[in-house]
Amino acid sequence: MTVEPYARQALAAGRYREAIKHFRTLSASEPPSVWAEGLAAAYRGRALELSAKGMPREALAIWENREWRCPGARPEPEQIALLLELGEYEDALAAYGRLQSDAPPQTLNRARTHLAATYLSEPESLDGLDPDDPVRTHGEAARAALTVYCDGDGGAASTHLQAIPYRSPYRDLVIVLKALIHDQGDGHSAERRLGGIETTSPFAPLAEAARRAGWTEAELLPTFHELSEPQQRLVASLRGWPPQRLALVRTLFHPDAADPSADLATTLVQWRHEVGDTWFRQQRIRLVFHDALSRGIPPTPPEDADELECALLHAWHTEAWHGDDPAELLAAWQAVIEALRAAGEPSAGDGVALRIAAIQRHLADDLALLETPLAAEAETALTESVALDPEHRHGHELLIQRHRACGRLTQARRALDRALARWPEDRTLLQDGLEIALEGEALDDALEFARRILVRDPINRRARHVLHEALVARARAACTEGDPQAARAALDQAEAWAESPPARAQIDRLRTVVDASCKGGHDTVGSPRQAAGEGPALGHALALAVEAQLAGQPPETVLARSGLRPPKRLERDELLDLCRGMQELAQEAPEALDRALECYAPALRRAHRIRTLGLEDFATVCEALRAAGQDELRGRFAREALRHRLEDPLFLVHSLEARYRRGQNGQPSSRELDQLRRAFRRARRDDEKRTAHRAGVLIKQWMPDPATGD
Amino acid sequence: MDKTLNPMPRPELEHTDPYLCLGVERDADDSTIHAAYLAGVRACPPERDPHRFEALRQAYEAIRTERRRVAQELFDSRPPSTLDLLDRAAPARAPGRPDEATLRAVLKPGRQA
Repeated sequence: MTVEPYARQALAAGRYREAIKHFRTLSASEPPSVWAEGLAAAYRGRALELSAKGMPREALAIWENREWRCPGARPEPEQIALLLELGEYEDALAAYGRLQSDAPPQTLNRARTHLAATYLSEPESLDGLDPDDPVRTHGEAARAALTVYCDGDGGAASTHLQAIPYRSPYRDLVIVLKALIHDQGDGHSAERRLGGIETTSPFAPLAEAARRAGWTEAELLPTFHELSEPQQRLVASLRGWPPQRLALVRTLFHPDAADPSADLATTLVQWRHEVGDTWFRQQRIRLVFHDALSRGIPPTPPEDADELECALLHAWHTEAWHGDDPAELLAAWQAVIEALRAAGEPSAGDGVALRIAAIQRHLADDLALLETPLAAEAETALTESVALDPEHRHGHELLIQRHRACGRLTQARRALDRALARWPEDRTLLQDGLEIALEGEALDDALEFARRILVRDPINRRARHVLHEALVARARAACTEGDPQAARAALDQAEAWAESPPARAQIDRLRTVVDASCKGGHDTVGSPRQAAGEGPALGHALALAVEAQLAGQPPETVLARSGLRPPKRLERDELLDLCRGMQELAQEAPEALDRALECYAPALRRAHRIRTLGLEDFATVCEALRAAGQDELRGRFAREALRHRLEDPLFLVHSLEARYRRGQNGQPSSRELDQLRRAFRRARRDDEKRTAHRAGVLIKQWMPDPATGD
Repeated sequence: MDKTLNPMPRPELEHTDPYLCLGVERDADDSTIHAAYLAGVRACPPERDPHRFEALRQAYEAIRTERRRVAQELFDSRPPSTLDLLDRAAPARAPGRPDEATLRAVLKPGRQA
């Protein structure tokens, strides 16, 4: 049986030594047509394998065997590349000569590319090359381009490159030089251009260096040792590295070195002269601190460390390990302040003063000592920081905030005045001023601050809103105290600041309340619509009742005197209007709404019997009553709706929630719980997410999980 | 007085020293730092080089005012990176051209790492 199948199998699997053995066995008995081509391929594979292993001489012997033993085998471009690498130039030229006789153009061009690279690096070694060979004819332009590029003349280099034809052995060089000339500083563009060069090209090392020259330092440095020494020099030149930097990179990123950052302290000492003494000392204590931090031990200051360096090291260590101990923090940073003072007594605004003030703000603000038992010390430090660094607005703001937080409005105002004397146009300070004035009920001052803010910032809604709210509150208080004149004066002022229709409507309502509160007997105040503001009557009447309650007036009296006496019976539209009002007021003033709704309670108790109500109306009403916390009424509407649509999940949940939410009616029965479960499943099935969620919450509340008790 | 340390800073997120990231001396004033930042933004606009721009922005935010410089000196305890050491000890100059011998050496067959 022949070994040919084994030979071909081994060749296909890349087992070249085995393939060579089988094909040679075959050569003893079979004609060359059977084995010559396979043997040549096996020899080629083995030669490339040995080259890749760094055994060029052994690889060359295989290439020679290939030509000798395989009839018709011609030299390969890789064989010529190996001969050039080994400096066997004459043999390389001879092999190139044999290749020229019958090689396909593509193979020939690959061989020429290798010769071209050698022609550029060592032109005299290829003197034997035919003068008309493209390697030589195109080579002159390529060498000239290289020379002028290195001289810094990119334009002339481009001109020389234009003389090189597209299908030249120097094509890859043209690509690299174009990338170097045109894409410097644009890594993406260079990557795209250089991506066309194959890794087997003799110009690939040049392309690789050009590519890496555009990388960031973070990408380049850890892999820098992968480059050959000439490539490293090339990258260094392209990046503008001085020789010292190249040397330092080679030291720090040597392949045998450990993590470069681990031994940075040693390198820093070695390069102390170059980095400068100040920088050296600043970075040295940081390295000492981090070394100690990583080992979990207190840092040991360097022998020649001064008092400030020692104190800083201790303060950083304290923040890292005792950040929750305010006394330790305060003591550590006080030591830094002492060290700074030892260097020279500070005077406001100088370097020492700025540093001390920064530490004092750090204690009060970043380390939040104001929130600890050492608040008094922190506050003293903060006050001193303002004196030491009076031009730092944030320090003033911190102090103002502190006084406000402690309710010391007079001191806050004094601190604010000091800050405003320096920054009279500052809107943050003016806003602080407005709020301090409002907190102190100094409305005239607040008005002045608001005016100043709005001159500088006409669209400052917050200033308008805050002022409007304060004036409305004042009017309500005056109304409660039975002083309609003061209330009207406050409302007149508030009107000037109310810019939105709801704000103006609120003022109208409060004015109606004030008018109604000071009228005796049963005189009405204006027309119902005017009294309640424009819009549907019942919703606005409810808002008026709420406003009356907030102003300390009986809602029934105000409604009666305003001609808005609550009706005894409600029609469908009136009910829905009332519900809209409820929804709006439930968030703003829930307690006042509760009291105001008492005026409408008789009508609401009968309203579930309104014949024209549809199921959607019932849903709207239930939702409004839920928001207003009117569970008893909600239960009535929900039960009425359930009479029309049995076990509807929405109304069932409303009904059960209204009955048992406040815990006054005990716990739901097992029958009701079963109904609730069914409602939950049905709501989920019908994708009624809100109802399903509410049912789920109730189930969880009423039927705790026996395992967890949740 | 020109406080620019390195006329060709290459800001990187690995810089922990904002002065080196911006390429200015430690006694640089607000205007010098601002000018260095603007020059850096022109060289590394965010749409083209977002990482370098971010490094630049962080460095600028750290030292753009005197109070921030003081805070950086007192409270920023991060150790220097290798990049900081390199930039301080031997700052890179403007990108240059290699000499011809270096280029030829790179092209010499069989000398690659």
